[in-house]
Amino acid sequence: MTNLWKAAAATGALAAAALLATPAEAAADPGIPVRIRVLKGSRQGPPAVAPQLRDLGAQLSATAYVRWDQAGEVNASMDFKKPVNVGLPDGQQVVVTLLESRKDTATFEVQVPASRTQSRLTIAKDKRIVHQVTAERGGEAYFVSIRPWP
Amino acid sequence: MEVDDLELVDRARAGDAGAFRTLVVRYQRKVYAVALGIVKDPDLAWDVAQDAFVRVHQNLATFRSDSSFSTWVLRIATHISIDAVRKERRSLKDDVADVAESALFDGAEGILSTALGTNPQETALRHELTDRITDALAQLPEAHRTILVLREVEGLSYEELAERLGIPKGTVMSRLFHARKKMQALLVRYAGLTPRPGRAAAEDA
Amino acid sequence: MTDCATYAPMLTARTGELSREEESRLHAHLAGCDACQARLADERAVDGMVADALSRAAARRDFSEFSTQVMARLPASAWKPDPADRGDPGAEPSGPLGRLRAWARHHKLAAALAALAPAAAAVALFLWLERADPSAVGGMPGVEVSSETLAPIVLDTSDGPMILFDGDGEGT
Repeated sequence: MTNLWKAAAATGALAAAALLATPAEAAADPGIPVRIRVLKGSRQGPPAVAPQLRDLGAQLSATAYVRWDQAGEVNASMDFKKPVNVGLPDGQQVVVTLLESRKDTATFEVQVPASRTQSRLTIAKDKRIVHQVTAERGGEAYFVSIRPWP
Repeated sequence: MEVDDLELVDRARAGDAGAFRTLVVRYQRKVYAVALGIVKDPDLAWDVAQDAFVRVHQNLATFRSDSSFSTWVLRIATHISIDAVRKERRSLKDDVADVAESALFDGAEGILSTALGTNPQETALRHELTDRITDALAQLPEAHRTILVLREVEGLSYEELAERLGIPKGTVMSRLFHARKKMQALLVRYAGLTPRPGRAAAEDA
Repeated sequence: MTDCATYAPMLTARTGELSREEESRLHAHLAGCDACQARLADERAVDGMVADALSRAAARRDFSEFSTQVMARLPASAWKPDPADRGDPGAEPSGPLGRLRAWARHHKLAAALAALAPAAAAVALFLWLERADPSAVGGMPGVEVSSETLAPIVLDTSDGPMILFDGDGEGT
């Protein structure tokens, strides 16, 4: 059957390296591995989800943003209560902290100082958080996705 | 993956509004796309798409869970769309089992593929032509638009098209052929390409 | 009638739509007909363009109001009331979900979800936390969001929670 939603090849994936802050050091405590990605959602442009974001497809397609690119990534071994700074391309910071983890779940806190937003989210081992971190401007907004034990 | 369609239908039947809304959101754009192809006007397509979901809800009790929700909602959408442009319908003089000779040799064959090619520079042309398709579709008579949309967007087979439209398979094939020819002739014109000497590329409805 | 009149309409048949005999005759014709080979190339070149064009048109359009409008056209009597609102003991555990609902009502989220402002809501899917949150272990709620400047919308999807913000940054 014709695939109505063929995704065009993503163009212009944004450079990530310069924008990321130091991930938590893994020294004594093992911490839990967490993958944090910065995403840009846009209403404009041909509908496309960058190939590396396909695993988030179900969540991303729930929004009105039709174009998704990855704008950064942190792979960290996170210790409890030790914040990890994630930089956005516009210079803002998002702070992600691991509060608690049990056998199958992990609890994170996401803070966006610029908008005084604070979220606490508990997710199961095989789930992901997708969290908008900037207000929509010009049809675009930034998000972070958080996945423990990626 | 997500909760499957049939489970959502069951929940909706049991009175779960969220489940029904999820189904709407899941299929809204596809239903709209099919409606848009057939009725041409975006606002009418929006209304038709809504009507389709309302009718789906009205008939939830009769939906059989051994068939696909997707097929069902699109079938309803097609029906309402065709109804909405009913006034536009008229008998097609070229809707015969045999393709007329004159329809074939207009010297345009191969022009589009040459222009679109596999050269990356030409993808801009493809993008531009894609944007003109809705214009081209709008210029086709209703029967040609409908069969193209059902074939290309809903992906129906010749057999399914024959059943959906109530016409024999031979007619399906020739109608599709004519619809495509007209569409391609319009694209050739939009792209400013010239057919080789022969009949003029575009046939009028 | 030339062979092309017979075979040209077969060029866009998919696997299984032609009989074996039709297929072999089509191949035989193609082998000796430049015009039909060119027609086939044209079909391949425009393959999928109609679907692309219509799906782009659908993607460009703002559908945030669509499902709300559909739901508004359906009779309210069709839906069962939310068990937790009636304090039904058979309903979801009131702990984490109850607190979340209370928080949502306090922040007028329920109203926001019921009728999203057309301006800038990024939400297209509404799957409120209806089921017991499996991640609410040890009394810690599954999701808590607070913001001083933005109106958060929490969605539960089968892949995990999503937090979106209603409204745009242009101060509407």
